[in-house]
Amino acid sequence: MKILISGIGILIICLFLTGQVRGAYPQEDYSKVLILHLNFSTGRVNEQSVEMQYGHPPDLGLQAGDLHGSLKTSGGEVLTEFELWDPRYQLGDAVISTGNGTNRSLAGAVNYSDTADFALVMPYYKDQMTLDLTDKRTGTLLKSVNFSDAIDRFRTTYPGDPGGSPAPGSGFRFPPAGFRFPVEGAVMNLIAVIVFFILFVIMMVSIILRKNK
Amino acid sequence: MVTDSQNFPVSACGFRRLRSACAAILFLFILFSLILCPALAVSPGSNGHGELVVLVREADTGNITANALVYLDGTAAGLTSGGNGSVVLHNVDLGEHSVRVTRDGYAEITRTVDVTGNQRITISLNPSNVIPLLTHGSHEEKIDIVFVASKTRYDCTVQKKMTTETYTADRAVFLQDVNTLIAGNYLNLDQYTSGRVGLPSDYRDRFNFYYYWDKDNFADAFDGCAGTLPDHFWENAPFADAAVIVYPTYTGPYTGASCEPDGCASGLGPGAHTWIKVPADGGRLILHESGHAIFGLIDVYCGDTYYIENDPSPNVWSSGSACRRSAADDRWNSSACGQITGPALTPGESVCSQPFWKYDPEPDIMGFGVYSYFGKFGEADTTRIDYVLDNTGGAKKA
Repeated sequence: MKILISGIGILIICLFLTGQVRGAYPQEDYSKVLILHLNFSTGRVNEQSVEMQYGHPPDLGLQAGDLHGSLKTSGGEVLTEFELWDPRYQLGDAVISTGNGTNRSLAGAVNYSDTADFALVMPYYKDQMTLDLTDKRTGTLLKSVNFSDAIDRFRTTYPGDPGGSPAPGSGFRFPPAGFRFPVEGAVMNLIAVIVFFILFVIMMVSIILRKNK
Repeated sequence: MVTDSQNFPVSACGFRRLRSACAAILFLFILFSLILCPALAVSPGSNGHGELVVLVREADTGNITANALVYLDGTAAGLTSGGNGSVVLHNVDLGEHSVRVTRDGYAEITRTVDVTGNQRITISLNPSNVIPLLTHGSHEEKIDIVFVASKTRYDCTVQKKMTTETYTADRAVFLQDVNTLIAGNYLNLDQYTSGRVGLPSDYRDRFNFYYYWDKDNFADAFDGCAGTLPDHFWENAPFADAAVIVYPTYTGPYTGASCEPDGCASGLGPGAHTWIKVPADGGRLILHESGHAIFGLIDVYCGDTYYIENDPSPNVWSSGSACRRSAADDRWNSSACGQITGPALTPGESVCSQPFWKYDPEPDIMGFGVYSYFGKFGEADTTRIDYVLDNTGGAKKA
């Protein structure tokens, strides 16, 4: 019994030493986005800045609008497509009161401006290189934004980053791009725990078998 | 004295040796872990390498920060300890490196460090500008709504926007209004939608709510129709599916285009550059604007607004036959489809009529029902809301 208790004690110490029971571990996060600051002016879209940074993108694919966005690889392969709202339009709703303010209703107040600054946050997928922005009404390509400079700057700052996640619909990959073990030492920790668990079991079994003899 | 080996000449001896061997290995491992590993870890770097100690502190208090995740050149390198708030990075190549530090509740930071040997750097973390209020899961799986305080309000009686410190001087007042808006509207959505269509039973869990607070940089609800968000909002909250600018109150009745509207939406559906502005005391106006910006719903009142057939699951159709087809598909009463018409908004104008059709009757929250006690999202509206709730994250799930 004394040996058994000692053995369990040693195992617990081992687990603590190897970091497996220290509690919640902050999850690594390599998600990246591209933030585009653009400007609509007299029917043309101008690029103001494009930067890549760590972060999570908003939902794409649920927005309706007159613009069409297409994220492509450098080879022109479409990674994902979506609709975008035309930022020159804003939907105002004014409250109109009648009957001494007792009856209230809404009046539309669409606001249109020839010029509009707008920001687009795009997800970063593996091999992603451009965003093509098209006016659905006319089919006109409004702007093709090339991400290569922003991606190069990011890679210079973070050369060890695992890269982009696969684009939607590109199939299952294992390990998924962007997946990393929590930290380098964790793999060693895991191996150490397994080895010592096996050793501990062997030791316990040997003790039990000996006592049963 | 009889020894074990004498009693168990072969097998027991084997067990004993096995046990002894295991015990010896365990002992050596513990010795190695406690003494040798740390000794190796803190040994001075060899030629071309250095040891970089990264100490992380809170900028405001100077307190050490445990469990901050430190990345070297974009690769996770370790966690700061609770003891001294530092992590030791070994065998770092001499030269320039990036050190990125992240921790929940703090704005992440990246510093460039020129490693010339064994050295120590201190990194100060500032509180994040984006603070969770009620979250239910990852950004990828939920609709992320971020509330932003406005530094302005509007007085239509003098047709001017006014600076207000209602929120900027008192975060608690802002939070109280935001929490009231969340509880009374987003978390009460089943009360304002069609019971016949219904919402997912866990619809409340499909939202994440945050607020944005930068004491030097607030939204301006009356800089343009939908207002403007604080500088660097999208850099700090790139995940936002919709931002909601809240201002305290709108003064005076709207008297036409010379006044700013009470509410406004920039965007139709969640995603890139979508935001709305609403007054805190505007009743269900936040549901109407959210109908636009979060659920992609179209106005069904007749007026100077924006109409398209918002497929899929539209609440407005570009023809009567399209409306009737949808109604038949969804087993609704197709005779309820009607053209969007209304009385003249101002005397002398002809009757309002738009080349679009709607299904939901008044009082509809996307129509005049926003100010009716009985106002609700109708069946078509609710079907569209369901569509968005069910497909959130679809494009982000890679």
